[in-house]
Order: sequence, then structure tokens, then C-alpha cells
Amino acid sequence: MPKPLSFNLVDETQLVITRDFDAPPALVWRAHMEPALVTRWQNGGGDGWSITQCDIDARVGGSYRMDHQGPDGTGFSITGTFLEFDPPNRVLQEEIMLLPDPTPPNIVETLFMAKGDGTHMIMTMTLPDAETRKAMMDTGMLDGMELSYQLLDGLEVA
Amino acid sequence: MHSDSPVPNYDAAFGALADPTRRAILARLATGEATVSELTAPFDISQPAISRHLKVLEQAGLITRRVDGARRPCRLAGGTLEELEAWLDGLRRNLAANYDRLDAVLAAEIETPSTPKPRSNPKE
Repeated sequence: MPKPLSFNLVDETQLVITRDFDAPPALVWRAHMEPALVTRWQNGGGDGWSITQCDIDARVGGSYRMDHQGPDGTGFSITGTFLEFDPPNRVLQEEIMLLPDPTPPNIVETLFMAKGDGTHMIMTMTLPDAETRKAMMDTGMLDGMELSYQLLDGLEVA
Repeated sequence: MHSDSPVPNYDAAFGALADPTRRAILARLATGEATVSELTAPFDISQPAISRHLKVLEQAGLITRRVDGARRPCRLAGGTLEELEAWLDGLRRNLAANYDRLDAVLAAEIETPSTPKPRSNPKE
């Protein structure tokens, strides 16, 4: 049974996502930081999208890049830099998507908090302004729509 | 319903939704049509202020107003909110799908932790 995801627009510029996981923060952290694990879940669901490259330099000041490629050969990249790093509980990163033009920076704070035997994640994205948030969601949506409709084709989840 | 349809202009709608009073007005209208004075009643805000909020909502395509004698009752303009919701829903679904897969990865890791492993399929 999938766990609920909460997804809220906050103020003019933020987007807050929360989710619980049945694994301790240390493991959830690794699943976000180790390419071998990251590519197993941020892969578009085996719907023709794939991650063709995933490099993560997991440390303060380190950068990361993930190239996503769609079935028609087009794709996008997610790049960023880790600004603050406190494994396994908190990371602050500046993220820029290449579509291929770079998007304005998205400052993402992710908290992985122990909750029982599991983890409560709070991810707060802060965009420079309301227009940018909107634009980010537009682009995210175009990719997201594509992905989610393809996923829906293969899923029967309420 | 695929991404080849033009993305409607959500700027105005999101701007309109950024304000808590306007969201409350929409929530009220979700229960049915209402006039300005009916909408003003529950809020600690002047009627002209409510009218300004209504204008923003109307321009964003979130509500419509009709003329009924001297009254101009407001109602939700189905389309925009539904589109907005569908749009957010797609985004949410995409994220949710990612995290559902993460659950599977976490479960597998708990079951059999991956030491640095060759990339062939580890399923037995």
C-alpha cells in the first residue's frame, strides 16, 4: 500500500512535500545519495525513460548531475550543488534543471527525521519568486504529465 | 489530455490562489452560489475588499458572476480549478510514483543490503 504523499504550495514561492518511509534515515539518505540506489527509483518507472548518467559528489560543495532520457531520445538533466550537508538528517541543495536551458535555482531543503523505525521526510523547495515557482512547476509538469500518464497506462493504483 | 494540448495560463490562477482569503472564498463557493454580501459575512473584511478579491478570482477564471436583478452572484467556474487540480495531480502522481519505487528500493535494501555490486540483476 503506497504511503500518502503530501504536496503543498506554501506562500508565494515554496513547495513542500512530505512523505514517510519504512526505513531509517540512514538508509533513506543513502537512497538519495548513492547513484546505484538513486537510479533504481528516480527512473521514470521503466516506462521508456531512463537515467543515462548519475553522478553525485555527496559532500558540502559537491555537485550532482542526473541525465534523464525519454523514449523519443529527448530528455532533461537535473544538476545541483550541496550547500549544507548533515547526514543522514538534513541536506540543503541548489538545484537547476537543464531543459536544456537552465532553470532559475531551486533551493531544496530535505529533512529526514527518525519516526519510530522509519523516516519522516520534509522537502521544502524555495524558488526565487512566484513566477519561477510557476514556471518550474510548468516544466516539471510537462515532464511529469508525460511520465505519469505513461505510468498510469501500466498501473492500476487508486 | 496529453502534454500536446496547450498548457493553460495558470499564472493568474496561482496568483489568485496564493491568498488565504481568496481560497476561503473559493471554499465557500464550493458549497454553492453566493452574493458579495453573503461572502462578506464570514470574513472580518470590508465588502469592497471582498469585491476586490472577487475581481481577482474572476480575472483568473476561477469564478464567474451573473447578473440577477441588482445582485451579481458568484459561482465557481468549474474548468480552471479542475484543470489546476489535474495539473497539480499529475505532478503529485509523478512524485508519488517515484517515492513508491523508493519504498521498494528501501525494502530490498533492508532485506539484502547492497554492497558495491555488479549491475546484473540481483533478483534470485
